Amino acid sequence: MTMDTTATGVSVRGLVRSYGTRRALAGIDLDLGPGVTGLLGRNGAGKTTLLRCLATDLEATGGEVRVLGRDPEQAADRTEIRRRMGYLPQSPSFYPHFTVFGLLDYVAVLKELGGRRERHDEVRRAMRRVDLYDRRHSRVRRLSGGMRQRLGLASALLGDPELLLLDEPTIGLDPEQRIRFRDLVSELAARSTVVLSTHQIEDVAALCRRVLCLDAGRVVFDGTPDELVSRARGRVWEQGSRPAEGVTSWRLADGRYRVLVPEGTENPDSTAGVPVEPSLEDAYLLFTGAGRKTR
Amino acid sequence: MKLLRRARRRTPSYGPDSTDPVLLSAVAAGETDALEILHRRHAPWLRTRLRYRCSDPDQLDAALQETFLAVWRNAGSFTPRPGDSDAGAWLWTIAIRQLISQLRKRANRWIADSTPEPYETIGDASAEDTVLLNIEHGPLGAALHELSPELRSAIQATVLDGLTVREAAEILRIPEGTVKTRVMRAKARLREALTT
Amino acid sequence: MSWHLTHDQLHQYAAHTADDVTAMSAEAHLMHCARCRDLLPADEAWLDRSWANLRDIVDRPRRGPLERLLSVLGLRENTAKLLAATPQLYRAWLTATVLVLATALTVAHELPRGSLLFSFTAPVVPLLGVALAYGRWVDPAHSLTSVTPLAGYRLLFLRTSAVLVPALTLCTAAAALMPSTSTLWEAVFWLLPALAMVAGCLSLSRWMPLSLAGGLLGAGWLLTVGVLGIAEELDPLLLFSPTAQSGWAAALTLLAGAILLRMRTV
Repeated sequence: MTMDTTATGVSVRGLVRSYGTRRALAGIDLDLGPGVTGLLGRNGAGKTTLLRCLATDLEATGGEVRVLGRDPEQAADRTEIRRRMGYLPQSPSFYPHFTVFGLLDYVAVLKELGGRRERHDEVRRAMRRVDLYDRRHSRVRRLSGGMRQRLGLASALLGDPELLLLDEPTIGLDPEQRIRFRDLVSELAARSTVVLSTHQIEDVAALCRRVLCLDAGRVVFDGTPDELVSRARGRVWEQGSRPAEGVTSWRLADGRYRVLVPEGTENPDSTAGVPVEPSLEDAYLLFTGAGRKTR
Repeated sequence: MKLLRRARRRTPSYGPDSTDPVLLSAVAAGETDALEILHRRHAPWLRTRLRYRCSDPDQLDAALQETFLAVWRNAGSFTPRPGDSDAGAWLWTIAIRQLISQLRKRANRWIADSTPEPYETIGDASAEDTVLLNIEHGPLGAALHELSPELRSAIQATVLDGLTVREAAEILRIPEGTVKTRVMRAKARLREALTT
Repeated sequence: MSWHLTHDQLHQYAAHTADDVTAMSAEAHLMHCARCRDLLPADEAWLDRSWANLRDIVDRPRRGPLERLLSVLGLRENTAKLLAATPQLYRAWLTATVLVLATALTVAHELPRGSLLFSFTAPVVPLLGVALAYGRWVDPAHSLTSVTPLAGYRLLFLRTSAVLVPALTLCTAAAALMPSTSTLWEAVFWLLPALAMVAGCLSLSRWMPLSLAGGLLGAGWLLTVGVLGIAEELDPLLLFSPTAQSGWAAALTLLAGAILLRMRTV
């Protein structure tokens, strides 16, 4: 396989990242271009590790990574990637005694954004985009959880990056803010590559052109949300009787049971129920490893 | 100290339609958005008016910027007269003095700039001046037309702009004594024209 | 207001084409009439520019006292900002340093051989400061800033100097106040080991978090002092003997060279 070294997006071959003997990423191949890609997977599946590797925060243990056509292992390339990329870490934390404006200004200095005037203008733009402008002189410790999340997002947006890596960006946002966030991300995705990890099915349905399901450090699904749903077809059943032990199922409001049958297995109770049209949520549960009971 | 004072002051609620005194007390509490509303409301007419007194756009803009910076720093010193919800006159006294200060800077770069403060609302004009301020196209307008440009500009600087004799002398670039005699002569002419 | 300016009067006045008397009349009226002021034609582009210039001055992030002090001392604005934004643990370290040195001074003046406390704490004071100045464990905003172009060595060295300057100043001041200090050499005997350990800590940070490296070296120092103290016919003060000092100097040179080399190549 040849490396895609085009200047946009992300290209990964055989990416491995180990912590001691545990492999958080066990050989990932990826090519991501403009638009929004959703990373799905349950906790511990490797989403955060993958994003941190792409963000140059972690070095790969093995394999090749190209971000915006550059190699994160080379110092000059790494700095260049960092100039053109925005990263929102999972549950970011801040200096509590800083004001919103002061904190973003500090990050903007670290991002080498222009002279004072241009830098302040850029910070103002970022604060407006996430609706924090009116709170710009508030101290971080006085912000609510949703505001802190938006503050983190604003810091990722500084400098108008070509690549945005967002680790669970909608955590802590109320429904209205989530909608605004989706509008913002759709707007950004028109000219940049956005990769976000999430547990929110609504985000995926509303935003993602493409989804990647991770399980145990591997990509188990790569395609559009529609393809994810169609691959789950025939694997979602509804039946009147309680399903056998070891099968993922839940009770519905009408007293029937909805049953998920993982790939490579058969529904043990196939005579008791009927296959039904899967929802995106069913598909998400099936392909992120929830279909198997805990290992 | 200033920061501490600002932080403690309660911010009144305000919006684009708030009156000048409300906006000024918000500015005194450190609200830049209130300053923006005031700027949007007052900068255009102040600029137009200053343009009749100075033709250099750079000095004009500098004077206006200093005006609003002075408002930012001294908003707390604005005390509206009862029932007056307009800071136009107060702003003008700041703006014209900032313009003089700009002109002075250009004339004598080596002389340190002395900012005239605090800014007080003008309005304790004499009865005669009040009459003069109500210029319409009546007999006063005609009388003003009759004045020579020198006498007119002396009246303009002292009565209309509310400048002291010394400031008027600076902006008109004539000695203080000349300002005094011109104002006296102009007032005499106007009185004459209005009473005959 | 009993009357208002006409549309033509306003436009003539705004276009600077009104005659003197009309202008005076308009001005006298505009001073008190908000309605006519609003109708005066305005140059929106100029207004936006003018506000942007003004906002740039009145609406800035508030600067803390430390940042202002650093600016007054002549540091560039960006550098002052980066230096002032230090983890709170760094401030705690600074306070602790002052306390520890004050204690060491008191002990040295009150107890026989009390100056030993200073001798063995001074070399680790800068090291602990460096360990608490940078990295995921000690800096809450680290995850947000670690992948910025300036992060890495540049921020690390900036923070290190933010530690070294106060640490070396305080330690030198304390050494000068020690009862036994009579020569310059007696005031700076701790300097080489301190710097060598800081350089060692920075070098080790390539393989482990900076805080861990600092902790390991600090523990190593205390252990060595302890062992030398317990062992017969050995004296912990050997660590400051002329032979040891030349060893420290050599280590410092090597480690600093390695760091510079790594900065060039990575």
